[in-house]
Amino acid sequence: MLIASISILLAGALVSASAARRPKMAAAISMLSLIMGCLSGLAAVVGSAAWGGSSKIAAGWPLPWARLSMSLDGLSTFFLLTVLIVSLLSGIYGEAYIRRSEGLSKSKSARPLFLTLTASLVAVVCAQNAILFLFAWELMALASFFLVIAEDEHPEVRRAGYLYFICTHTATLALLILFAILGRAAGTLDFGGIRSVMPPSAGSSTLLLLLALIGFGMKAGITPFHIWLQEAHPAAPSHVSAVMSGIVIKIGIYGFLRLIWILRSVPDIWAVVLVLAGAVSGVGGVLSALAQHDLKRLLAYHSVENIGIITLGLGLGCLGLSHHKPELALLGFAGAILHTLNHALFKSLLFLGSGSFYQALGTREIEAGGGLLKLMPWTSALSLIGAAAISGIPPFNGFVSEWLVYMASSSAMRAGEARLAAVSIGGLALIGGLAVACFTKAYGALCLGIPRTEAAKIAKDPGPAMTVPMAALAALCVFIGCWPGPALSLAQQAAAAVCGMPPDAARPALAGFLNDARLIGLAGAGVIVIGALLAFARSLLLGGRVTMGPTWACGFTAPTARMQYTASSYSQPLTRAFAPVLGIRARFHAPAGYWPTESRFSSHADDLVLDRLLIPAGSATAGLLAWLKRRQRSRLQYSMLAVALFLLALLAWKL
Amino acid sequence: METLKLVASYLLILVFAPPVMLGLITKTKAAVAGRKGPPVLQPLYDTLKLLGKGAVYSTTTTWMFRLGPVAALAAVLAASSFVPLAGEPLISFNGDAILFAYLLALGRFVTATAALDTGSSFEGMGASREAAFSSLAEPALILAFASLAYRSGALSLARMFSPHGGPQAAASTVLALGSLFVVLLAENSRIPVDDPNTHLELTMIHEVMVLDHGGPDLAFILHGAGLRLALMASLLVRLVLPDWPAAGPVGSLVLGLAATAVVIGLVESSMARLRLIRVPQLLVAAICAATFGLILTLR
Repeated sequence: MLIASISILLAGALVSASAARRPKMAAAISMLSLIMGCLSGLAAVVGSAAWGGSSKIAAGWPLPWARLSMSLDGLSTFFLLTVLIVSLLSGIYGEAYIRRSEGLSKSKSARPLFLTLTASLVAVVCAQNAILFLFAWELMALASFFLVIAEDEHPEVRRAGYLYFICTHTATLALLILFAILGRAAGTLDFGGIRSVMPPSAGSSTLLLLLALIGFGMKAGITPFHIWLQEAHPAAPSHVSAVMSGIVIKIGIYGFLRLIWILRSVPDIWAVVLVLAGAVSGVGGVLSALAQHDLKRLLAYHSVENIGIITLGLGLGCLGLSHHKPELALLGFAGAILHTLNHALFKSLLFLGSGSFYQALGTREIEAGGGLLKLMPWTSALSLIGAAAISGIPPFNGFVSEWLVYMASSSAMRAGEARLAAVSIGGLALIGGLAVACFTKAYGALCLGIPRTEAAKIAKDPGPAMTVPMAALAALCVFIGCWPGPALSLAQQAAAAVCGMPPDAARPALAGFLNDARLIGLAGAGVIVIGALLAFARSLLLGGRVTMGPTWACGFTAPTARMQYTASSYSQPLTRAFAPVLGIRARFHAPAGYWPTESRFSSHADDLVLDRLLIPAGSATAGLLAWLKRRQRSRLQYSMLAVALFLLALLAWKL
Repeated sequence: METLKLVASYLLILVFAPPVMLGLITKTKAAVAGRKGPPVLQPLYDTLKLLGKGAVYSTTTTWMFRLGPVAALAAVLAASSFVPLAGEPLISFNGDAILFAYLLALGRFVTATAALDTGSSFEGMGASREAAFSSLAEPALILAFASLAYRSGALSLARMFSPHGGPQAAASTVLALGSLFVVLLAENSRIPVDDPNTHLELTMIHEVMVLDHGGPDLAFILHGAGLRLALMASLLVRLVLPDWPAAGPVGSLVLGLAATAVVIGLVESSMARLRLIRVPQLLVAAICAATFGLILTLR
């Protein structure tokens, strides 16, 4: 089924690319092959999850050390499921999105590239050979790169694409070295083969950790390697952003988990580094998001935040592995893995929503919106579910996985690793509070209140082709929030696979937690029921005595849309409190004189790593080199002097 | 029979504790100022009167505005089932403390979105302040929970909030208690963070978010806010006061709640509210106290 899925997707890509002259046919072919490909992939997932029928594929490949080997263990099954759900729904949305978009509908490559991206994602999570993995990884990187620059008539899109290209190839380079080291030690490049000969404590694993952090961490967007996210996500078409933020960055997490599986056990330093990186990414991501007013940039920073939560879970799982505490290892990994699915669901929901808002408003600026809940009721209501879920509040899915990471931290505390646990608990709590602030800000500015611009006044919901995929994602968010059982048992099988246990070995260790999670689901459903009863009681009490009037403006009778609180002012108490770590540039032209005429205020939040560190460092280096070049050119004597100094230095060094 | 008694005492506390506590706070403040003050049950009369009224909705608002009061009260009610109000809680499991904290966050989320739904700049301002302050109060709350959970071995409110530990745990208990008390004042808009009696919209935090609500909606909001105060206060009471055998668990909790209300009244009569830009400093101090408490416990 797996092979069928990949070949249908790739064949669909080829056929729809060659049929590009007839757009209608190309669209029909790509839609059909996407649905067929994803459904046959889902069949493989069901087969593997329900009766353990791991569909193993192995074939020769005329490349050195390469084999076309794929299989589905618990971990691959889980990620494959995530890939298929999000790709299928985003693809269906994307078809309508492309049609409505002026620039994209002319593009001949958007549809075949999306199919290629999906096929490569399926292949990368099932690959059992390093060469095949890297091949699929590279295909994924290239397909997503070309999708990011689909609207390359805008200079900022080209810039973002360039940055993404550099980052993703830095990552690939690190992975090449990583697998070369592993392959040299093991004599094979099959994952299973490396694992079977791997000694329990791999010698050079600090180097491996560094390479994995660059390779997988760059893709996942762990701070400080997140620099491409906030540029590439806004630049890409929205359905592609949904897939990139929902899945492509999760492939970095998958890589980490697969590597831990290969190494079988990891030293303590992994846990320390991952927990700290997770806390920094989480808090840094949500703080940077608070300062944004470009919707997709804000969502991209929230991806950094959620990757931080996932990395916290990963780190706690590594802690359990290195301390031989199976409960902690399983809890940490299960939390990380479940949050991967949950984040894929609500983040792609939010990105799809942002696409509809963008097409309605013509800008990604949240302060150009307002009142969209009235004008675009479906898109706004579904986005509300995404916003609540990403804030991690019950009864939605984000809470369940954050709770698992909390429980992992509490388990780590009992296991005697109190400092890391305290970092993780404090980080999670701060992330939770700030995420609520950030999403009430974004949602309030965009969907609530009064329209602020002319475009917002005439905004309309897109058709069902775009709202139905969003509704499916939102339904999954509520389902996992109120009935976490099925998703949790899949996640725990995946966690068991990472720890190298048989799939059912995790169940007894986690039985108590699974039961508690069911109670959480019940409590979530309870909130909904109590709320419904209260609403019913209110309607009885009111008995129709409802009058409509203007909003109370404290005596002022002519409030306008421009007097509403803006998103920037909403987050100002927090952005001011955290100003030292935010890098906000504000430009304020104050009104002056007795008859002030004009005043302006604008603010922009730089990325601390990219804009304040890498770019200045890069231009300083370039400046230094240019200065040297000028010196070199000016006089022969200087060059001679430089040569002499260099020789002298060499001599001194040799001594 | 036991279950019936438990549920009955739960219901009584859920209905009467919030208005009586608020009434006692007002009464204490009046007594300190040398006034007679309104009757203790005045908040209950207000709620009943509001329940009988109709509603005025702004034309700007949508269903979000009507969802707010209902969902906020539902979240607090659900959160109350993990708090040992009648000697033991209705539901208890390992990890319910986190669910408790996040249910309160759900209440904040819907209240803030309902406030933004009116399009009023005053309500936006209130929502902004509430979001900022409570996102700093959250780490203090959860870190204090963590140190208590470490001591009791489970992240469950019923186990965490019971007197235990003896003298060597006294320091960490005091630190947790201090940070939880600050969180209680901040989350329930009491002085020194917010003044519930202020008359100027510009200076309000919680009150300004609900300016446009009236009738049963306002009754739900007021009762929910009072209930949040009562829940957090009963956690503190359970932490400090042992059960008094003569009064039984419910009786000792009620006495403790009354004492807490008097303490809050005294705090409110003895100090002015802080300037808004000083509030984050107070909350960061609470986070630090909770962290120190955690370090002391883990030592």
